[in-house]
Amino acid sequence: MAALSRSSILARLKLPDDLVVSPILFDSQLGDSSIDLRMGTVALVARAGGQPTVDPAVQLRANGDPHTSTERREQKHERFDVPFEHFFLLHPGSLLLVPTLEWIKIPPDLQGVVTARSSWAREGLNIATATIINPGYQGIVTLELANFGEVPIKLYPGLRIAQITFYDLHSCNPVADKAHLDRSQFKMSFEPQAGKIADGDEKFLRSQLSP
Amino acid sequence: MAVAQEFLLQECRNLRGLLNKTLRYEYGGAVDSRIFYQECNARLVSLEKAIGSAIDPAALGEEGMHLNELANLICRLERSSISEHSWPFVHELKRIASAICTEDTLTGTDTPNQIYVLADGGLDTYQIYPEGRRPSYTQKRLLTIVFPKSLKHFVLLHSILGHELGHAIWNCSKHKREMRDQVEKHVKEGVFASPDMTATHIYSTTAPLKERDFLGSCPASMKQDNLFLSYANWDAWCEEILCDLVGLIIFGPSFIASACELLTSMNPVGSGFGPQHPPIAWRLNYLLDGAKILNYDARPPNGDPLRADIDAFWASLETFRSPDPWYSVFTSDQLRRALSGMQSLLSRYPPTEYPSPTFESLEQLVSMLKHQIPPVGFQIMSDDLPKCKSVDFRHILFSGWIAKASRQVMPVDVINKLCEHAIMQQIAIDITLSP
Repeated sequence: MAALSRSSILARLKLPDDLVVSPILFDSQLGDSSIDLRMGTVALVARAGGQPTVDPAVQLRANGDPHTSTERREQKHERFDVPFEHFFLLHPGSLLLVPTLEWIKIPPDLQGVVTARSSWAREGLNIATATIINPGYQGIVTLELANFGEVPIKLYPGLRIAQITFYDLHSCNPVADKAHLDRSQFKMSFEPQAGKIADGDEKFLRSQLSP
Repeated sequence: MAVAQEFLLQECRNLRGLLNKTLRYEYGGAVDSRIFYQECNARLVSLEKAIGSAIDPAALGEEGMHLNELANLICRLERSSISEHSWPFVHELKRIASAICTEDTLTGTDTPNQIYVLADGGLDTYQIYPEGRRPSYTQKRLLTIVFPKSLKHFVLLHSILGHELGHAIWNCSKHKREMRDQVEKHVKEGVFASPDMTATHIYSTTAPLKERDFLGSCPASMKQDNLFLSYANWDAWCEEILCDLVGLIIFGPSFIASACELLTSMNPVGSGFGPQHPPIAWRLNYLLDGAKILNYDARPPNGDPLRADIDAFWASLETFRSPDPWYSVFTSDQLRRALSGMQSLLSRYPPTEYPSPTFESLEQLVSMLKHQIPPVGFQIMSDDLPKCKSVDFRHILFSGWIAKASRQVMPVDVINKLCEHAIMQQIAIDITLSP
């Protein structure tokens, strides 16, 4: 697995139906081996009182009841539309989900890794640790922002707050992987969403599931 | 009268409390909420004064009605802040409305109307509530744009709001006379020469069977000679026609596509008319004819990658045309003159008039959509430099309709969301391109 250089990224961006990062507003957004990502115009912040605890078992139990599971999902976050030239204030210790402005498509033989920009990290803005964008993904990238500093940070849509690097996957077999990738056709992400923290791990939680 | 006066003065105080509560929310940003607050407060002060000094019950009743309308407005503002909308589309719609819906006010000439948006249930909720009456010569007219809540992301259908903008322009003091002149000069001819002529056409023995069936299903008391006296409003029909033409000139091909889809979905039989609206089939026919007159149906040369897609788009719209001559109520010449008259008004207020795209630009947008990428003015050039360019949001919508009509299998909600996302991205591009 090797990271793509600037020229390799550009070459892939020019290929039809391959890597997509759109739009790139300025040449300076392209680094030596990365592309800066900008903040989009939506912000999701955990709603106080929306849920008492983050408990995968509770989430799993709720999945059997459409009302409870939907209610939990819908009430978990407060959603804010933040137009360009306006800002969202991120308080110390708060977690915020925002989409990227850019639309990303990762071809079957690449993987994207999203990290913070160091200039923002120095101000206390943290973006998860490293977000992996899987091959075949298409949509916005959800950025999990946290303010680790001691003063509130004003976040304006359009600002470059993250960066994405690309790695080619060794021994990738697009034909063999195609069936798996095809399952995600039209599954695009347009807005940040709460994660599914329990799906697939039912066996580790079964003691909590019985009545 | 003293009791009523005291009651209404108390209601003024109640409303002030409600108005203050609206500042708990933001609607359209801090600047907008300040303007709304100041405007409503100015009206409240004026009403309080008028109610306190009313000398007869009739005057008091009049002020009471104004107060009631203000209460409705304040409550709508509060609702506006809690509903979600397609803000990128609203941003663009506001740009158009602010350009043409301007008036002379106390604060100056060409004061743009202040716009806020609401979401409500039902497909027929696409509306703009223009304010007919205001309690005083206040600073701004407030326009309420209403979207169907279930169609939040369906920006392609939102093009129908071009028609509603027509109503807003119709009620705009600056354009009232010109709009009515256009109706007098160009709409009121032939079938629309008079209410009698229109009724004669509707009751004509040459009308298609399904239309005669519709008349048969109407109340027995409805006759040709009282149709526009008791059952339908002929002047409202004329206004609707002009607003259709305004919608066509503002949103271009996307307006016709949205009209075809929405109107026929709400009335799948396609026959009949409403008290305020002429028959749907008449409307779709003159819109399709209008598109040809305005050259919106221009095609790239054979062999161009876009040719087949554009052919498919217009062919899909032609399926909504009713071929019976009874449905064609305007001559080409009449329609041409009406469109030209409206163009001369709308073109004076850029960006109101629809700018036709180049085929090259449209092809790029359609191609991006087909690759499931939001269609915007961006590409990597051969010199490895990213290049952004301005793209009118109506071209993004047109590309969406073209993609929908093409044989590309993509769910319609995905096309809409891609276009909505593209409008948002294009706003960012336009910000970077601005001086």
